[in-house]
Amino acid sequence: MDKDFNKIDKLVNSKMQTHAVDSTVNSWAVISRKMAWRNFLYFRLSSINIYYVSLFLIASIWGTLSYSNATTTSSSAGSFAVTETIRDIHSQEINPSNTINIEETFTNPEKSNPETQFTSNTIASNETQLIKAANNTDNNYNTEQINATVNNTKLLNKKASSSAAKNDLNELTHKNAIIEGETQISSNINISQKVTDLSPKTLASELSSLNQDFAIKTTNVDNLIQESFSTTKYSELDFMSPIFLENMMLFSDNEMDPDFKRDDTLEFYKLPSERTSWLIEAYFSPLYTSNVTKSIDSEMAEFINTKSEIESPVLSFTTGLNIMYQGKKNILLQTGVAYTQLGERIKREDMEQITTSTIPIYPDGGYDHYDTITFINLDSLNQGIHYTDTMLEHSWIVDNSTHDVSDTAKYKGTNTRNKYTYIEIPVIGGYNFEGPGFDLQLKAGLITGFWLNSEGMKANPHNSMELVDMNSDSPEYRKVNYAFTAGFNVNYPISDRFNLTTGLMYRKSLFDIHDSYLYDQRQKGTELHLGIQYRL
Amino acid sequence: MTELPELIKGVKKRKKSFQRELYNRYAPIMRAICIRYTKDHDEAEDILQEGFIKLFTKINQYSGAGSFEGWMKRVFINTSINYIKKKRNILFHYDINDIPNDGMTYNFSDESRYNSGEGDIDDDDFTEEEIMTIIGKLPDGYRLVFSLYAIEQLSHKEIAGMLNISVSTSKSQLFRARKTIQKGLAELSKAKQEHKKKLESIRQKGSNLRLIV
Repeated sequence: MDKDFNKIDKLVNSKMQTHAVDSTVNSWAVISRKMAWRNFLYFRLSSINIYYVSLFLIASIWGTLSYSNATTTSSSAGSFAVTETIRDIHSQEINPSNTINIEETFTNPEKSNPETQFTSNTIASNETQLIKAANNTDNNYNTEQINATVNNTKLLNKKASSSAAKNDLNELTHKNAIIEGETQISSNINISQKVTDLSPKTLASELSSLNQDFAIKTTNVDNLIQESFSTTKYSELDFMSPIFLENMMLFSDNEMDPDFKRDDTLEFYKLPSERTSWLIEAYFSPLYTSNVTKSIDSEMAEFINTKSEIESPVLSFTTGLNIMYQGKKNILLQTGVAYTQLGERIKREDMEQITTSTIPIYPDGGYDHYDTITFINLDSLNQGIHYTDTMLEHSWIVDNSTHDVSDTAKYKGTNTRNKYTYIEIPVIGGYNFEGPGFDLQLKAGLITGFWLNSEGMKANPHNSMELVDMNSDSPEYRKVNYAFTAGFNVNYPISDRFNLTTGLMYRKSLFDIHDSYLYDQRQKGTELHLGIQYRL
Repeated sequence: MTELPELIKGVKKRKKSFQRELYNRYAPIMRAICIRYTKDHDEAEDILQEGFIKLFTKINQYSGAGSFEGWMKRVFINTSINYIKKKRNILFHYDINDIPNDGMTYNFSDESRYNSGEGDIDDDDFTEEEIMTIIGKLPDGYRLVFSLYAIEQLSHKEIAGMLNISVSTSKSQLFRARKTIQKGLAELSKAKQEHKKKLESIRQKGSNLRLIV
């Protein structure tokens, strides 16, 4: 009989070794689709993956917010300049030392370039020039020269035309008629030079709307339009009058107040990169962790295959304190201490039949027929193992007669998690990209882990389908292990000193977690970093 | 066609073209393995897809020692067995030497009772599909043990470890599987011989008719 059976074995073996069956047409398409997603989640330098896409999205958002805030900044710069200008006008005595050389300006009109960037003093001095020119009855200044001065004033108006600056002016206007008066006059002079349909009445009515306290007189603008300044009665607007000065002092206490709310625009211009600071961070981060097992021993290949079948990633955590130094040029240095749990899940459907019964075999031919009903024993689930109960209704059919046997069987499964606990000290460097609302930090470094303990189960290296305690067979875990980590953080300030921080950090052991064992096992994981920072 | 080491290297780098080439080269063989274990073609297709995904994601575990095709086959065999475990409990009929003698029972050591007397089996009598059909008709337990023993050439100890059964169960399952296959082959051989005879008689009748004409 053995000879017959050997022949059967040989026959089947010879036929089946080369047996091939074509797969269905759609099979590769399904595999390709599932692999595309897995490849996207896998980090590779040479191809697009979720890490690159995440960084790109964050950089795009950061860039967009930076750009839009830069525009607002420019407007604020205008308002700042205008406000400061106005302050300068009011706070400074108008004296020749604050002005540029009038002679130079009027004799060289080409120097008065409307495109020139004006400092606040230049703007102020132009106003001063205007006033002086208006008061000048010398007749030495011709229309061209005056026009040049007026063009310079246009630049002031351009700066004042930005919405932010206009808002500032509007705000101040209600409180300070002097400012209104000045800007009105400046703009009206501009209008009068280029628009001929502005009636004297319009200008007069504008001027008359000024604060009654100043008793500003109207002026005849006909001459403004047609003649040079020398013929204007602009001089009737007496900015040196006691009433003017008295009211200027009254308003200056408010508007010139250094703590006036416009100061925040000044604060805005301080470059954060010029700051250096220390931060303390506390965090608690979920960590999605698993292991990578290898062996150069070909005899271990099957075991490693089986081991990988029963293991899967598990959600664990890391928590700790960091101390960070943010230096000049946005360089970051960070260290700290953390308590970290790494691990993996062990899950296996065993086929260990716990209870059995005997089934008679009838020799006269016939066939076996059975029905099964299977259900999970719920009570066992929280023990890390589970039982599947199966009821069998078993029949042996012989010559149309049946012999029924009822039977039950229990099948045991395992579902548990392994834990490897470390105290870790990270040493990380990075670079900080400043954003308008948040900062983006790229980091990389080394983690030194001091092993505390390991608990759980593992596949028995000597019998791959048997599960044994993780610490059996003397695996000798390394007392100190090293891991590489890299990733990014986003810091969002919630107050002057506190930031919320979040990000993704990838980590992988650099060496086997064992000192010496049958196989090489390394831990890896992705951390969702969640923390709060305090700036010292 | 790409050399195998180059192909493995490309698959390790997760390059799609290399993955596709590996699939095209080995999918038919692996599908046959899946069908052998699960006997259902739809399930075999699911196992094939799952197996290749596992292969592509875990290929870094192949260190280069031993045959790559052998390593790959083991991946698919494990995937097949795990799939079957999840889908249904595999029943193993236990060794009847332990059962009480309340019916007509048999001791496996009594070989004479199992001598079918059907004669020698010729390799050329059977095609691959016929062998597959016979194996496919075996119950799950018989089929798994027989495939692992006769085709993958594992020992009973290895089979017992893989399926988490006792060595004696593995032996008894193998015995019953062989018996069933032997019977199946014998019936098939008999049917083929009868068919041959019928064809021969038809031919003879036909030629006689021509002679008459």
